[in-house]
Amino acid sequence: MLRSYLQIALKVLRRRKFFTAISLFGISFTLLVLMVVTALLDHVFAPHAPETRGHRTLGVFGVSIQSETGSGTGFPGFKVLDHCARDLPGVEEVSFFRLQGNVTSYVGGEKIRSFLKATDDAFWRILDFELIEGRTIDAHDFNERRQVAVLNETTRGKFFGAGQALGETIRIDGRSFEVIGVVRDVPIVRIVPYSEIWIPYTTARTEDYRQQYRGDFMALLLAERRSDFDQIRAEYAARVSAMPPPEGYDTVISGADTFFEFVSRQLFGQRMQSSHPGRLRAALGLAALLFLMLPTLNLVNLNVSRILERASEIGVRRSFGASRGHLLLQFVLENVVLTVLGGLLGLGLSALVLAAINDSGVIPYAEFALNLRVFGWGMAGALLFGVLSGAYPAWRMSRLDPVDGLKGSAS
Amino acid sequence: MIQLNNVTKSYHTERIETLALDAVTLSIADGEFVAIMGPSGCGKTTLLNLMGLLDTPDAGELLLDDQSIGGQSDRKLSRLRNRKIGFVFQSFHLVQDLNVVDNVEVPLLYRPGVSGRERRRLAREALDQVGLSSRIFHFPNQLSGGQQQRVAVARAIVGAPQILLADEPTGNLDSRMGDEIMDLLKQRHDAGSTVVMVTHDQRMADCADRTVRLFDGRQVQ
Ligand SMILES: Nc1ncnc2c1ncn2[C@@H]1O[C@H](COP(=O)(O)OP(=O)(O)OP(=O)(O)O)[C@@H](O)[C@H]1O
Ligand SMILES: [Mg+2]
Repeated sequence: MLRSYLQIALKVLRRRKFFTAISLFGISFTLLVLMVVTALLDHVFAPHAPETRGHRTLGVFGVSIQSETGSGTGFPGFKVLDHCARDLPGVEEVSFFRLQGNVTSYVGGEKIRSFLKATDDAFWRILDFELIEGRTIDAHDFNERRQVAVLNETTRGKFFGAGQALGETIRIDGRSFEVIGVVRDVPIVRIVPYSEIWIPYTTARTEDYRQQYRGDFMALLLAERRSDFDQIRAEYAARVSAMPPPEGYDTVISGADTFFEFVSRQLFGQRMQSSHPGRLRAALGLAALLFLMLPTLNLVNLNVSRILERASEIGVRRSFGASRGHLLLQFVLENVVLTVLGGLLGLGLSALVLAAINDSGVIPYAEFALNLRVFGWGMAGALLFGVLSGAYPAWRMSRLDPVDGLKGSAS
Repeated sequence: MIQLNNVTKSYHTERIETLALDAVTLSIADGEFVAIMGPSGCGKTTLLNLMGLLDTPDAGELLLDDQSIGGQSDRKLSRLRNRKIGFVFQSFHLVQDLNVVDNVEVPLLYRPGVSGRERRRLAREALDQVGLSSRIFHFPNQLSGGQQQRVAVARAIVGAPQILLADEPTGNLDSRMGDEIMDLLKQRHDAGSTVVMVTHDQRMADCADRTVRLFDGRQVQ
């Protein structure tokens, strides 16, 4: 029976070309926007290469120190990480790294600005960079404070064009580093791995960073198993709260989070004391729903305005044995077919839009793509949209009295 | 058997109340062919709607096969309409968005267990009977009034209903076409169906076993 309804729905939509066209336009545009946003979020939060072990990686992305009179929140300082994040039970590998921001180099009189990260050697074992040539930073480089650098592909091009890079020296903010490796570009939205140049953080000019509670560090914790997450979080939080606070402060707060949890901690955690991934998910869902609201009401309106037009059809179907339930199902399904078609169209359009964003260079090294996850969410959105906008008009239609329906428009 | 006991039906509009049927008592036996006649506005369509379970009486009782219809659930009524009753409406009422054969398939769509192929076969057969097999993919607005009437008849008989309710089924047809439709109704009657037909045409009424005359919502002898 469902199949027959589907066939009928397609026939009706094909027959009502004008209605179908304007509905499809609205639906596909709405879902296009939703899918592009979903693709962006997916790109930021879901594990993509080089975070191939993302599902068992936690991070420390923030620290807050608080006193009676005020508080300061920011990236973690080395001291907190050094004190609390080493040798956690269940953690297989731990990495500290530094966000150093933009640095300047000159090549042949031309100025090059590059983003710089300073890492340890574990960083390269936890993350799975695609090596193009040479090698990445190892324990020897790190411990011996060797002035070595790994470049991404694009930056190699900026410094050396098509020429040899390995073994050559580049100058970063006036200091010399030997190029030991080149890795494939990583999009800027992959906050943890992203950079253009990576160096060992032991090459820093001073060791002041070792005393900082707040600084420019982050930590990655690779758990043996995902099921160890709770234990790791608990132990890390306990160590942080037991840590003596800096002069003039009385509390240190920090947590081990996934990146999504960290964002929820910043948005919803009172003074960063707790993470609320559920709330963030709910907020995102709510935003999507609100965004769906207007086109939903629009489609509801369009459908309701067609009830009168379809009164005779309803009367006929009722006279020949359609129950209210039949009609409800049939009209909702008709609408769902419409929105799912719109969804597929929107999906195609969003692939084009994402490709355009990638090409435009607005977001450095962007590699937005539709994957199964985004497709799944998009189709779920389309279905929800279809049911929401179909249910009320279908209910109204199904309540129509058969006799009134037949009277409504004598054809 | 269709049995009406003291059935009353009135319509309320903003200003006036119309008594469309006034205490009608009527019994139609299984397999009977009954013609209903009367001037315009006397309540013929109203009576047919009640017998077709499309409407409910304000007072009185309607029985179908000795079962009272009052208070039945929507699902039950829908099932009865689907299994037992076929309708030919006064004004065709074809679904404009569906082509001829899809229109004829409508009653079978709500009958569980009828496959798509079976539906198509039965619909083609019914269209064959009304002489429209060459137009099955036309849309209603591409047909003449007489052709639409025949589609409506095909739709009414496709499910081989026990009761056929026809509201002026020959009203829009020339006499030759009208005779053909009458032959179809007689065929259904011969096959054992109960046929109730509204008509203004005495010649048509003469084909029936019995004629019921209405005047101002009342049955007259
Ligand atoms: N929905 C309605 N609202 C108000 N009055 C109605 C309604 N339906 C029918 N009537 C009135 O009820 C009376 C009977 O109508 P009905 O349609 O049964 O007549 P009929 O005998 O079928 O007439 P015709 O031969 O013209 O088809 C008429 O006076 C009509 O105006
Ligand atoms: Mg009438």
